[in-house]
Amino acid sequence: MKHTNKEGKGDMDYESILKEQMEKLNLTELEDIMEDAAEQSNGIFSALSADEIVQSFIKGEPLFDTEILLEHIWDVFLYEIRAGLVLGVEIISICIVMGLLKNFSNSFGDKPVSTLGTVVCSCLVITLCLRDFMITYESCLGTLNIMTNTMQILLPILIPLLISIGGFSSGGVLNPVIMGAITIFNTVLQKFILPILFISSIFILINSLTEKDYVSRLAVFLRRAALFLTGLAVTIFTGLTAIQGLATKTADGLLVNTARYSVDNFIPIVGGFAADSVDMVLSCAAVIKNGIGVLGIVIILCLLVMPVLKILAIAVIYKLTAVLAEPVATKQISASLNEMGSAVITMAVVLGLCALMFLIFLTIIIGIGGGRLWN
Amino acid sequence: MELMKEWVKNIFILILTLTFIEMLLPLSRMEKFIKFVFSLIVMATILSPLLIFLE
Repeated sequence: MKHTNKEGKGDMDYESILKEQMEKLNLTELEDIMEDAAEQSNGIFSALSADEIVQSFIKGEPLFDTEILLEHIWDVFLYEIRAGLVLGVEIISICIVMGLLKNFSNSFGDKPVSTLGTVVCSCLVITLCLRDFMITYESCLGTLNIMTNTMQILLPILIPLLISIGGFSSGGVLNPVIMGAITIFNTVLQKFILPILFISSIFILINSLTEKDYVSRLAVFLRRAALFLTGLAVTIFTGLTAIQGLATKTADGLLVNTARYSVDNFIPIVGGFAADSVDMVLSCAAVIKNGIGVLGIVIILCLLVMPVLKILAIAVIYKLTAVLAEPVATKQISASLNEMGSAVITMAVVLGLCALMFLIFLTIIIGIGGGRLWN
Repeated sequence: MELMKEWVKNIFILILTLTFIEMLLPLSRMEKFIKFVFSLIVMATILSPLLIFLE
């Protein structure tokens, strides 16, 4: 596709402006993260540079091939399920031993012996589940930290770009708001919500030891509370940011339009051309800002997709194991395996909510001053 | 957070111990009463963080 110069001014070619503006930005840090994220996502996403994204914007090409993307995601999911099957098989075999012990307890003639066997088997299942849950927990925590870091690197690049296209008050207000929201959210998740989920799963597991339900309600309550807190935090932070963005957007429009109008009308003869070229430069900067914003979104998605697939695969394994364990093992074990599945899904949901919030932040920044400027 | 850890640890160890003690109990009429006492102990442990608010 050939780009013709619509403006008819030799030095106002948008490609050269874009190039010039891109060169002034230092994006190496961001592109390093992108490469790492693409590597981590096991080839689901390929590494893109900000330049490529901007080019594909202008040419109107899609960034990803959806079919191939879905195929990759399905492949990775199946792979993770296969990797998780070991755990399922281990638990099922312990459950079978447990069923044997329980059903043959009459031939031992002694109740304590068979109960002891059941409890020891439950302990084994608990150990296996906890070990596996620890891995999930760690990966969840790691992903959260990487996503927060990415946002913290992304914002200092995006906000100056936003200010450079005339978003003076938006940039000034949004930067501290979003930075604060990200930091607070990260701390809340790390110090409260994820530990609460962990504690809840410990309670679920310990509950499978006893015949009576001692702490099952407590476990469910803790999990619901954690989920509720996450939802609340996401709503509050995104709401605040969105309102700030909307309110300052109008003020910015006022400023830029005033500037353009005065250039247009108060500078004789060349004023009109100058105003047009101001528009041109501003649109180019807006395209770059949106390109970097999209790059950020792609990075967040890259970072998110692997852990979520992994966690969901583990959840499926837990649920399937619960279904299979029901006929052979005790009621407690299968119930607690089922609950463990829900706990693991909750982890994925929390991670997803966190990513959703980051995506909304990026979208708000992209949305400001995009397309036609400030109209 | 330390308090929370302590609390969870207490509940975990308590339930584990109670399960083993229950197994060792002789089959008698007293068994049910002892189990009831055990559940009271578990309840007290779950409630123990509330003491901080009361102080």
